[in-house]
Amino acid sequence: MALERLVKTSDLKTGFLADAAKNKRKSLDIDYDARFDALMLLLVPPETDTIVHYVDDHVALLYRPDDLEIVGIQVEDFERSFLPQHEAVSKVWRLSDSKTDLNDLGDLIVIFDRIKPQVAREVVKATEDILGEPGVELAAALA
Amino acid sequence: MPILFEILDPMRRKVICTDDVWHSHILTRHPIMRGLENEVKLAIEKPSIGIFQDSSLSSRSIYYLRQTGTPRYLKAVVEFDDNDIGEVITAFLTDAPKSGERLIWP
Repeated sequence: MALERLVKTSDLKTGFLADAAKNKRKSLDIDYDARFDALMLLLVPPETDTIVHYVDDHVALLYRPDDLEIVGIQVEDFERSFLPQHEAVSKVWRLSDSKTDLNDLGDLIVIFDRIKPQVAREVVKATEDILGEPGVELAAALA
Repeated sequence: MPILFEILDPMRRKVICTDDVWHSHILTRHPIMRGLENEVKLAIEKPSIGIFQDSSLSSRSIYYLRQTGTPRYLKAVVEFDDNDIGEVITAFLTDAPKSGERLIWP
């Protein structure tokens, strides 16, 4: 006996992403959970309720439960499996993790804020094929 | 470190969830989990189907609880140490299991 998939990917909506791309809305939140080894990329404020919709072993779409609009992605096994398979993401991620020439936490935050749009674009580029149409919309929203 | 709850899973393994993980890790990343502490406990004590092993880490067990009235599962991820004591490291709502996870109980 196995757990069944309760929502089809085709049931999820991309209107929010299309609107974000059209209006060049740049709300972007990136969070890395080191203990769980997962990266979350959100185009909405982090306090937004989201549901995780797996599309493969590592990658999941995040959508709002009230309107099924896709608002981000979650990549699990990020440093352990995903980065070694995606050199371009790994390169940008290493930059965000660089501790050179940092004087304090403020420097680290500034560097991460500068790098995070690049991280987001590379992650989405690396997952575009897996994500299908939502991937294309995500890439456009982050362009 | 304050413990939010301490329970046994169906394999009689001790599982804890700390206040810090609940508030600083789970609720900040998955605010939809607010108020669902008891469902997390239930997922670990009486998971739907059974206990799964993570697709890449054997020390990590996965528990799903089918939520009534919604097309969702509550998913709890527990990391076990060498003494078979587990700690909840994350929990969130999902609409599907992740491929690659393997049923280890029953």
